[in-house]
Amino acid sequence: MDWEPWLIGFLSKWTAGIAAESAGVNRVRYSPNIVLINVPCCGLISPIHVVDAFLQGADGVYIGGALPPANCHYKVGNFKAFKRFYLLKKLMKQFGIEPERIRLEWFVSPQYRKLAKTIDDFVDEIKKLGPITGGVEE
Amino acid sequence: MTRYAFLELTSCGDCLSELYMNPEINKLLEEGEIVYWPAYGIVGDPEEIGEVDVTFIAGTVRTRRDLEELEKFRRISRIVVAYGTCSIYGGLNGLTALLEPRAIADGEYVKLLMPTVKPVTDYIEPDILVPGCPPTREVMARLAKTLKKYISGGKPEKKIFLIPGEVLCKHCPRRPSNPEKAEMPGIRDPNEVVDDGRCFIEQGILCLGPVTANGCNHLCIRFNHPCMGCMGPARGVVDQGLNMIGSIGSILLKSREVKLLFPGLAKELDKLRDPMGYFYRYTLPKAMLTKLALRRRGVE
Repeated sequence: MDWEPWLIGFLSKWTAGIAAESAGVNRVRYSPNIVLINVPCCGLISPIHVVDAFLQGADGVYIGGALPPANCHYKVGNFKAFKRFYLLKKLMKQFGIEPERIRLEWFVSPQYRKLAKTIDDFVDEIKKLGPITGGVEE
Repeated sequence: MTRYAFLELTSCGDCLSELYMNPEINKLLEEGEIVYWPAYGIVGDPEEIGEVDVTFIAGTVRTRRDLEELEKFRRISRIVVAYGTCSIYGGLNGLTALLEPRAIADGEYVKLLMPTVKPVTDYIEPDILVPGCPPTREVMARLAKTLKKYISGGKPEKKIFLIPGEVLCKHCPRRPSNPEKAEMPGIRDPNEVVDDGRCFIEQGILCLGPVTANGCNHLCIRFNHPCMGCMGPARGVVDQGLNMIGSIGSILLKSREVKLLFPGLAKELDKLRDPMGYFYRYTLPKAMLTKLALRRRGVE
């Protein structure tokens, strides 16, 4: 099968974003299937952004935020993100879309190896799930 | 003489009867003539009716015949009024949007159904949109006023949306004194409501007010029932359910989240058992996730 998944990652710039940068500096490789976007805080990502990414063809969305309880630069952004995406996953399940297509990971800024590893894991998982269109070609 | 047509697609049939009974609209209808209303025995072949001035459409497009009739009447009428939430957002009929036709009908009837249910606005461009389930008396009066303007000829230059469209909470009688400090103390069952005039969300009851348009004069809220979202999304709201999830994420247990941590928050969120049914009761066919789910089935 020549299908390759295409993923979007939103990273909080204070933790996961720094981890991604260190991964580059330290020459740690991770899957090229993911496009990473730095955002000021994972608490500002709306469920609309994530569903819109799916509608535009992303097969999975990766969200990286600060490890609770005390690492978020804005103190509570990671809790906001958790509540939103916990509910969104529940909602997606009811619509018949696999909730595993959203992955939340929590970091402190030096954990660049964890970032690379979880991204690779996520890509493998999405490869097993198949394309977001469920095999129907557009 | 003004010629009116009443077109009921798949609907409960209540909206247009109520519209007919409204005194101001009824006066307009008495001066004119109703040329088509099958539900009340005024039938005819749409091809032979000729030009119609105003067509009121209620309901969703569920069957293939609905779509044929809808397109015919858009061609022959000067002004089309999409009346009721069903015709604009899908309404309660829209709850079948994710079911396959086979799950709804048997045998040969399956062929009569469209692959999914969609509101009228997905197929044609109405001139006047009147949301509500059903629209209130004030909105009907506004509709009568608008129709009088165009009765002798001409049509609106752009779509007229007959409700203000601002967020329901803006003028809510239960609005908290300091909305920025509002906090949801957990998720509770609506039957635990105490009528003490406090904001429902501050009591832990999910109320769709933050994402719903105003146009109902807070009818449910004044009678101690949280908003169910029947007026459709407010101006600026992309998707009722997803925006509501955003609001809940901001205010649920916001002073205790550092103590509860993720497991505690998850336990609280699990009390909301049916988010789809609650958030999309009236707008399921317009939901972004419905679009995604239907695309996977090969239905566009």
